[in-house]
Amino acid sequence: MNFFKKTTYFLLFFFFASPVFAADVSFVSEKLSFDKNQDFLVSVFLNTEGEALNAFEGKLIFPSDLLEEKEIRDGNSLVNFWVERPALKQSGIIAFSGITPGGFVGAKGMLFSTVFHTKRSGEGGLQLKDLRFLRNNGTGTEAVAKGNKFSFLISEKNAPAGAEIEPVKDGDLPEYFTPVISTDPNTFDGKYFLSFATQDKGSGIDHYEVREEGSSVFSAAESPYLLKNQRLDAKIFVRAVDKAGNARIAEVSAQNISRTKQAVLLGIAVLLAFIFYISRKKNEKKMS
Amino acid sequence: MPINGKTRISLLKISIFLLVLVLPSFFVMADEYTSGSYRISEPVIVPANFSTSNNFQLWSTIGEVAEGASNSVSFQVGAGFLRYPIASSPAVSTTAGDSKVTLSWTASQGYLGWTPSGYNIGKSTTSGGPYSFTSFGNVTSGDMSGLTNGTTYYFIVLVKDIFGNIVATSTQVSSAPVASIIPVVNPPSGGSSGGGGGGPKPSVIANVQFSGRAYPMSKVNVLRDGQIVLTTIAGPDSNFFADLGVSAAGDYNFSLYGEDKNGLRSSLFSFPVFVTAGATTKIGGIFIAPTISVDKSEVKKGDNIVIFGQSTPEAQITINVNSESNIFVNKNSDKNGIYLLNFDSSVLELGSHSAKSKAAKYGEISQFSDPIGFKVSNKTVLTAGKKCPAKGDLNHDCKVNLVDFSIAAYWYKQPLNASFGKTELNDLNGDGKIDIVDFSIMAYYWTG
Repeated sequence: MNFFKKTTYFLLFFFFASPVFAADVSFVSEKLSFDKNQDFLVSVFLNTEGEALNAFEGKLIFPSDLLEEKEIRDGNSLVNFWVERPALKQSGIIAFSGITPGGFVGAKGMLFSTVFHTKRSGEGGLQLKDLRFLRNNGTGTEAVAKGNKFSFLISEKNAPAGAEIEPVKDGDLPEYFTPVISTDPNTFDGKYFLSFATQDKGSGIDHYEVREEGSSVFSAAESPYLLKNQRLDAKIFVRAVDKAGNARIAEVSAQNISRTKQAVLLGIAVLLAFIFYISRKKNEKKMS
Repeated sequence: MPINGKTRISLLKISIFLLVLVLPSFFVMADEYTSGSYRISEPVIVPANFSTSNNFQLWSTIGEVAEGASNSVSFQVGAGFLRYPIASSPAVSTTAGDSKVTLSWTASQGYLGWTPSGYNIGKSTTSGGPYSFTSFGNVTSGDMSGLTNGTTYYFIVLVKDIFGNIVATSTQVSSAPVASIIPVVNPPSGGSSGGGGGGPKPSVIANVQFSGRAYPMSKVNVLRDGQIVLTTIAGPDSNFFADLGVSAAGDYNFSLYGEDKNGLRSSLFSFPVFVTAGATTKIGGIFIAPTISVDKSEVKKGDNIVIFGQSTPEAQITINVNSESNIFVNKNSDKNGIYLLNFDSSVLELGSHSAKSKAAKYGEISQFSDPIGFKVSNKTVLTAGKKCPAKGDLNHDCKVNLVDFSIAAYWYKQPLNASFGKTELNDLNGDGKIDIVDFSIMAYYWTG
C-alpha cells in the first residue's frame, strides 16, 4: 500500500509540478581573500533567466565583527525608483527595495555595490536574505529567487597603505528631472506636496535638497515633500546631489501669482482706470 | 464475496480500459485550440527532419514551421493545424565601437510551446544580405568584432528553437564602426526641463535612436528610467523614429508605449541598454503591441462581445481569448490599423475571462498586448473604451507615474486610513497594506 502511495505521489509530482523559474542573484568581487584593514568592492548582480522582473527587495547580511560597510554605490543600478535605497539598516544588514517600470530582463543587471573594510582576520560570508523579486505581470507574483553566498578569507597580514578602493570618477551631473507639484486627499491631509526622482549613472544619487523661494538655504528633503508654501506663489528649487558632489538643480515655477504681485497688478489696474477716467472727462469737456 | 478467476479477468480488463482512457490526459503537454467552428485537441507538431535513425525514415507533409512562413501571394498552404507556435521578433540595438559593433536585443517570447533557445547574428555589408551568420548562445547581447571602421554593416538577429530551427527574425539594423569615439557636446534633444540655479550648461554626450512600428499617426512616448522624456508621432504607415540625447554614459532602461486614436495605451516595451559616450545607439525593430479593448465589461452568455483595438495597417492580428482552453481568432487590421472582432460568447464558460492580441507583418511579430478582462454572466454591462490604467493610478489622473509612486511611498509600511484603504483595495492588491507587491503592480501599469 505504501509503495502505491509513494508511487502515486511521485507520479503526481512528476507530471503536475510546473517548471520552476529562479532568478539568480550573485556577488562579484575581484578577490576572495583579503588582508586586514583592507577595502574591497562587492557588486550584487541579478540574472533574471529570461523573465521580466519589476520589483526587487531583500537584505544583504554581512558579519559585522569582520567587516565594516564604508560605502554603497547604486549609480548604474537596474532599479529606477528606490522605495528603500540600499542602506545599512542595522548592524550587519543592508536592506534594499525598489522598482523598474516595464520590468528588467537580463543576465547581468547590477542591483548595487558595497565597499567593505576588513576589521580583523577570519573567515566569513555575505549572503542575501528575504529576497522578493516580483514578475512584471500586473499582479506582483513572486519569482523564485536564488541568492548565492560569497565566502571570503581575511588574513592576519595588514594591508599596505594606499590599498583603498578608488572613488568613482564622476564628473557628470545627475540626470535632468522635473519635480511635480500634486495634491491628493490621502496624502499629507490633502495639502500640496512635491514629487521628485532622478538617476546618476556615475556615483549614484546621495541626497536631495529643497529650497522654497523666500528661504535662502537648501534643506535636505525626501520625496514626497510637503510644501511649506501652500499658496504655490513662489518658485521651488530641488537640488539632486550625487555621491561625488555633483549637483543638478531643477526649478519649479510658481503656480499662482504672489500677493505682492497681485497688489502691484491691482495698483496698475486702478491707475489705468483712473487715467482712462481722467481722459474721458477731458474729452467730455472738449465736446461740450 | 469471493472473486473467481473470470471476475478477476473482467476487473483487469476494466482497469486496463480505464488506464488507457485516463493516462493520456496526464501526458498532454500541448495547448488545445478551439473556436466557434472547430476544435483541435492535443496537437503535437513534429516538423520534418526531427525524426531520424539508421533504420527508418519519416516522411512528413509540407507545412509551415512558423506562423506566416508561407507568404506567397499566388497560392496559400493551409497545411496541418490552423494555429502554430510563434516567437516574437526581437528589437535590436547597435552601438558602434573601434572595429566592432555591440549588439543587444530583447529576448524573444515564445508562445504555444516554442521556447527560444539561442540566437544567430547575421552580418552583411549590403542592405538585405546575403548575411554571414555567427551563432550566439541564449544571450541577449554580443560584439561583432573584426570590422572595418567607416564601413556600414547590416545586421539581423535570428531566433532559434531548441532544435536550431529559425523561428523568428528581427528587422535589419545598421551601424558603422568608428576608430575612436570623441564625445560631442550638443544641447539635449529630448531632455526634461530643469537644470536652473547656476549649474553647468546642459550637454549631450551620446544619442539613442528608436525606430519601429506603432499605429498610424499615433503618439509614441519614450521613457528614460521610468520618466517620459520624449513624445513623437508615428507616420500614416505607423512607422516612427525618435532621437534622444543623454548626458551621461551608463546603463539605461528605455521604455516605449503607443497611444492609439482612442487614447488607449499599449503595454510598455522595455529595453535595457548601455549607452557609450560619443556613440549613437540605434534601437530598431521595435514592434509596439496592439491596443485592445472590449465593448462590455460583462456579457450575457450567448451574446456577442466586441474586441477591438489598433495596430499597424493591414497586419494579421491574432486575438487570444482565455477560457478553459485557449481560443485563437485571426483578423486583419484595416488601412488605419483598426481591428475588430465580434466574438460569440456562447463558447465561453460563465465567469471571468480575458483577451489579448498580437500583430504580425512582413515576418515580424509583436509581443502580446496586456490582457483585457471581461465576465460572462447572465447580464450585459456595457463599458466605454478603457483609457485609464486598470491599476496603480492612485490619484486617478489616468496615469501611473512618479506622483502615484510618491503617494504609495507616503503609506509604505504605515497603517492605512479608511479612505486610502479603499484606494488600495481598488487600485492595488487590496491586502490592506503598502508593500513591494503594490509597487510591482504600479511598475507594470506605469505610464510615466
